[in-house]
Amino acid sequence: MKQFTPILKRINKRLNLPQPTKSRIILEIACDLEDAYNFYLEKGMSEEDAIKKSGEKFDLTGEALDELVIVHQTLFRKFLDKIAGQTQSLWERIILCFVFLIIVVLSAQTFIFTPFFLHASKFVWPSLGIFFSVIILSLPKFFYLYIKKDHQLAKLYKGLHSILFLGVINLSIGVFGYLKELYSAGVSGLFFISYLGFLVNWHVPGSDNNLVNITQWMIKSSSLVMFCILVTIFTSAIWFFLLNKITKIEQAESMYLLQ
Amino acid sequence: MNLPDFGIPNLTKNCNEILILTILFKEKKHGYQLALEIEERSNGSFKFNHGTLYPILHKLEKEGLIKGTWKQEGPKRKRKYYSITAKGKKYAKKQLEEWQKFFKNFFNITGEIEK
Repeated sequence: MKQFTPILKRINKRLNLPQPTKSRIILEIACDLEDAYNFYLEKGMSEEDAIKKSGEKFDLTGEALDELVIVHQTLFRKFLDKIAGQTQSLWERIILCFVFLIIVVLSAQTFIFTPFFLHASKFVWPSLGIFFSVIILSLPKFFYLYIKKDHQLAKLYKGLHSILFLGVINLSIGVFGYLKELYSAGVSGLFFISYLGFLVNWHVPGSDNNLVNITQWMIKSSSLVMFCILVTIFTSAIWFFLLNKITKIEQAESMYLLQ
Repeated sequence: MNLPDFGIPNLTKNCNEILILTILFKEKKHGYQLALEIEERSNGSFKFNHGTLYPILHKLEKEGLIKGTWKQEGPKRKRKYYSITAKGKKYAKKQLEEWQKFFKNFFNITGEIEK
């Protein structure tokens, strides 16, 4: 495929699209170019003429390139590709790993050495379920990427965005759970009256029970929100890390063709 | 599912779309196979620059009319194959009706030459 490097380089230069979309298009054209080249060779053309003829056939006009850009530039895709390509330098990766490590250590300490889950809202359990689902979904990908080193992109991409989707679901559970606990505390203990009384040190009949309600709500909801945010950060970090790695493999494949 | 505008400026684009969808009715194919089969089956009447094929294929894929899947062919070679979706089949049939109407109207006018 090396004979088409100048053509592919030209297309690569003119195709104003983010990775990995650009690599995919170039990979697709490269394969078709090779087929066209073989077809012309079989027809009895010389190698030089076959390269020239297939190059002419696949020369993307400015109009065709513009159309390709319009087709592929959706807002969401643009956003995904942009984040994945952002942590390229070493120091950015180090900071990301450092932040991730601090979060893991601090949260592990809280979850293991305190009766965190006993005090937390019941909404923390679906969030924990999501946490394990993310691990189950991402483990095979880490296995294929780092242990088996089987870089079949279709297999690696499959279900990748589900990880991010789970993160969004998890965050929604956190917000919903927080509001649900607030509502329950409000209904069961005339929350607002007692809360005001608590703030200005009034004595409202039954406010002792209400104080317990408020405290319970504070513990339940704060632990839920804390856990949900941590799981969301964890999920996003896993998704981000995998997407970055897979995108780089894909880019490397197309770079091989362009060299 | 909106049918494309059958005005004169869009004719080539619509024509390429229906040709691609028709070829994919039979079996899945990659870009070059598609271009080649259209050329061969039309006895060279529909000769188009293969470069113009990709925007059409990618647009059809984006609209869910065709589906592109990557297939490993050998250790270092991967191909993108396109197949028509149920939505694509429905769309192609509707578009064909539009083409038939178009040609009927066209021959209504040009048929006067023979009279």
